[in-house]
Amino acid sequence: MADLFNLLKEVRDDLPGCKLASIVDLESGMELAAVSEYESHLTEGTDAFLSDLYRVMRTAMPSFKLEGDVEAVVLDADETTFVSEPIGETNYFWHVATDHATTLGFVQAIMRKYRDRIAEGVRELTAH
Amino acid sequence: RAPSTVAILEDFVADCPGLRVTGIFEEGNDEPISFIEASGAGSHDSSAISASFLDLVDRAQRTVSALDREESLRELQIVLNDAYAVVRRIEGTSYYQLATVARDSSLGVILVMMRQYGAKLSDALKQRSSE
Repeated sequence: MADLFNLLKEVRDDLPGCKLASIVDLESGMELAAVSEYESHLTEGTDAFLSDLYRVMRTAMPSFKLEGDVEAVVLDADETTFVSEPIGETNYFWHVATDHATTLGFVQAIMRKYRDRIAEGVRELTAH
Repeated sequence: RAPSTVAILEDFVADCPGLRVTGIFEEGNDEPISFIEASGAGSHDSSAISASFLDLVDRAQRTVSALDREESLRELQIVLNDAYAVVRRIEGTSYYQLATVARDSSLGVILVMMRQYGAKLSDALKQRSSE
């Protein structure tokens, strides 16, 4: 069974300027796993509000006449870029936050590299 | 005198292939300051869009400032399987621009255009506020 924490550590080590790598429950906003230099109450807050953003998107997108499934969300702030993707066929998303020394394209390339292993790990852990 | 925000958005629409809608929104306003639907985009309820839009911006801002309270949201990109939705804060103002585009459009072009037109929108909105 994949060790999700070690996987997230690999993601963090592959990503210069990585501030946070986490896997989050879409419905509850609770972290399934997270690695970060920040204190846990800060990362838990970020992930909880991000899950709420996903919830708001589900109701907001139809008003924009956008009916498709969300594939990724990018938030760009003054000092940090937050990139997240739903994990297919699960009730989770995963999330990476980096400083601006790392380009968005590189973050997305690293997430593509680890996407299947993250998804497999979550499915193994959450299968009933 | 700076051109109106509507005139600037009309030029923006002309420069962005695949654009569906674009508008300028401000927290506390039930209606967008300006709103344009590209041809073929259909009719949208601008009040509903404004409410939804401001909810999105609120949650996005809370997400970024939860990690560091000094952080401010600059841009939000939502990638859907059939479209992109981009929200960008207009620098130096309390306004945000929204653009939705077809997925087969270039996200990179849209982002560059929003950044370029953002300066013109900033000037127009600051002039509007001073009047």
